[in-house]
Amino acid sequence: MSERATRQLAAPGEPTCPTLTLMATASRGAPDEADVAPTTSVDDLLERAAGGDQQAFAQVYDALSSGVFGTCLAVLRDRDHAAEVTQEVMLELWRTAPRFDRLRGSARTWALTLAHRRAVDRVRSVQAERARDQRVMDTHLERPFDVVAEEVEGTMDRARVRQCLGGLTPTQHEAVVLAYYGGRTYREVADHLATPVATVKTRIRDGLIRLRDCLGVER
Amino acid sequence: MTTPDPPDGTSDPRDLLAAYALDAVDDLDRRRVEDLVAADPDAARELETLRATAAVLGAATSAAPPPELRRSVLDRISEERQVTAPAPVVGERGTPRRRPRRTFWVAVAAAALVAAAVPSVLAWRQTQEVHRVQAQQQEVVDLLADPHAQVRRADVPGGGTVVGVLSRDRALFTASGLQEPGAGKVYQLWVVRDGVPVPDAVMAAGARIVRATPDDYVVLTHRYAAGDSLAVTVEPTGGSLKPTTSPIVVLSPV
Repeated sequence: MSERATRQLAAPGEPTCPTLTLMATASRGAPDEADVAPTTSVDDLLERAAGGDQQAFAQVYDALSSGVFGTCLAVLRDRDHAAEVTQEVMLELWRTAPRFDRLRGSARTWALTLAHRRAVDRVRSVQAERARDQRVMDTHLERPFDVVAEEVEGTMDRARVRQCLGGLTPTQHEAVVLAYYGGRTYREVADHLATPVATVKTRIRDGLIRLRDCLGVER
Repeated sequence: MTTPDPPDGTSDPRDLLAAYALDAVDDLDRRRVEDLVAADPDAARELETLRATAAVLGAATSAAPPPELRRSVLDRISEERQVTAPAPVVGERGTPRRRPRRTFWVAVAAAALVAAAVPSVLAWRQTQEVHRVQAQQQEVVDLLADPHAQVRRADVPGGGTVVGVLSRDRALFTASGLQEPGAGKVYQLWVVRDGVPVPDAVMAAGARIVRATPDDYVVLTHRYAAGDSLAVTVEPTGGSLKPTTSPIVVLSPV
């Protein structure tokens, strides 16, 4: 995967291609990342953690927690929920570390996939709760989604992602953002946009493939 | 509302790989994609690249978590056992299915909701509490409706009344009008099986206590089995593993 290659090849502050720029900045904000020796990738650390090495896992935490928390926050838009789900995700990462297989994707992809999944689980579970029990609705937190989507993208100072999202057609862009950051199913996106389900499915597929090619994620 | 695709699984799950990578599928679609990926290495590779792409979208929103979370996580891993078995589900590496899947129709109902904003953690916990109480109430209703249940009642010397509803696998115990147990003391409920008292609830507010006021208690116990008796003693605060005083009252089935 390009992401792994990035960590091994990129000299700090000297990105050599757009993908490297993104990856070099994506984990900025992890306070103790300097503790990770440059030759030790997060994949290596997670493999050590799989053997019960708690210190290695502390370094995994430092490398991945910002991405995990940011992903949860983007979907949940509430710091307390995001912190709770981040904790669940990091503990699940620890418990299931023995199943990590770097040939099937990087540790970062695994962690962020898990983070998004658990954040979406919580959103949908909360929505189901609401359907059952209107009494606990706190409507003051409701905001039109489109405002939120703008805010989320506004926090993306990752120029490359923004550039690649900008390379999508407006309808692809809208569908991908509503699905990923909005935590919606494609059927919900179709509902929201009053657009046929098959059309939205196609927009999501074509949009994500175009994004993949733009970001240089290897096949 | 637009008309959803027919839920008959006729569309090609390959078209759903991207939506799956974005977690934008309902449970029925998720299963179809996982079946595809388990059987088709090309689809599995395609999904990997799409997942990595989705992860980049997540990484782009990186934000530092609350600093205290680090300590909390690292403290807890020392108590968390790691798995040993390989991943059971090919399409969902490392994340065994841990919760029952919602049915398709529930997913459809959820899909009808447009709001994506979530209530606060406090409201979330309140909801969980509401469901816990509802489940408990349902259990009490079921118990009262059990044709095998026996109702036993006794007066407590010194004041108060206790009532037990005794079924085959649980019992509901209520006490009302009891005197204060005294400073540093509590009432404790016991399930007595073959003459041996098994400690049950200390009658102060707690998870299994339906209601607890100083002279009024309702306890639902699952330790009870057909033929057991219920007994109450006065114990030091926090309760005891063995009774330290004689029971003030005993309820036995006929």
